[in-house]
Amino acid sequence: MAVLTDVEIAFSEESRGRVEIRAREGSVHLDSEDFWLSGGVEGTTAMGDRFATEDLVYDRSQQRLWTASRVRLDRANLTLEADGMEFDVEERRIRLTGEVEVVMAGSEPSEGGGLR
Amino acid sequence: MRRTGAATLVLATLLLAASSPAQEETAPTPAESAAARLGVQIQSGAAMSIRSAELTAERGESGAERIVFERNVVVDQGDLRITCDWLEAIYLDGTGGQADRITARGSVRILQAGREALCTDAVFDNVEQTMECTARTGKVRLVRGEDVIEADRIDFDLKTGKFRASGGVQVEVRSEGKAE
Repeated sequence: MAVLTDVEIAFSEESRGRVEIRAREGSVHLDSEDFWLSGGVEGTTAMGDRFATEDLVYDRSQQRLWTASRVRLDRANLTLEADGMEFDVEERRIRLTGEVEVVMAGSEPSEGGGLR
Repeated sequence: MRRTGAATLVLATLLLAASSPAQEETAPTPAESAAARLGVQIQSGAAMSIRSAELTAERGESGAERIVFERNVVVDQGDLRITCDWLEAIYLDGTGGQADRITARGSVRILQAGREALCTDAVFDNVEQTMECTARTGKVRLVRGEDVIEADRIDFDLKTGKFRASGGVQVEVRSEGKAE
């Protein structure tokens, strides 16, 4: 196992773009390539989403990033918060669990209305 | 005094009449008054929040994104609140800005200013700014105080607050002059 500080990790795949993650510290299991990150974990996805949490685990066999800590995702005018997150790296599918709250910013009044 | 209508009454024409200039010339019927009281409207530009126990987001090859909220879903926008068991938001351009279509299912309640719509399926079309409510079993119910409209389907125009009830419509409204 390797212990790391000021970690930067990237997943890259031609068809699905790049996921980048930074954290203050972490550890990598050299055999399995699983890793654990903690302390100001921040990341960006190919879709432009930014996420922040306090710890994050990568399970390579399942191609899955997950955390049981409070997590926040930001994109354009959308903010998502939850008590936990699972991110399927292969499928690029995000699952948020526990007290999920999504806030979509309002816009300037315009003709008509609409759910934003 | 109460007036109860039944069968195939379609309220759209009543609603249009309720909002037309002709309304000033003739007193509205109880059904027209109820229609004006029962519509649902969206506050343009207001921020929206959605809370739930679980969320799944995935993006298709086309770039469209699908976000599904599950369990104890609560949507708030301005004075409008929607609660349901399951809600899906589709973003055709995948930017996360304005959902193009929102579908709510399972014990759907739509609340606004004392008005309440109850159904099992509600589909919001953000392009047309309409909402279609249907019930898998029983009827869609639209309630405000003592006014009750039941139908197989109720279509709301979210811009104007008008709605159209169709299919086995039953109306129970208080007559004009009775205090709210």
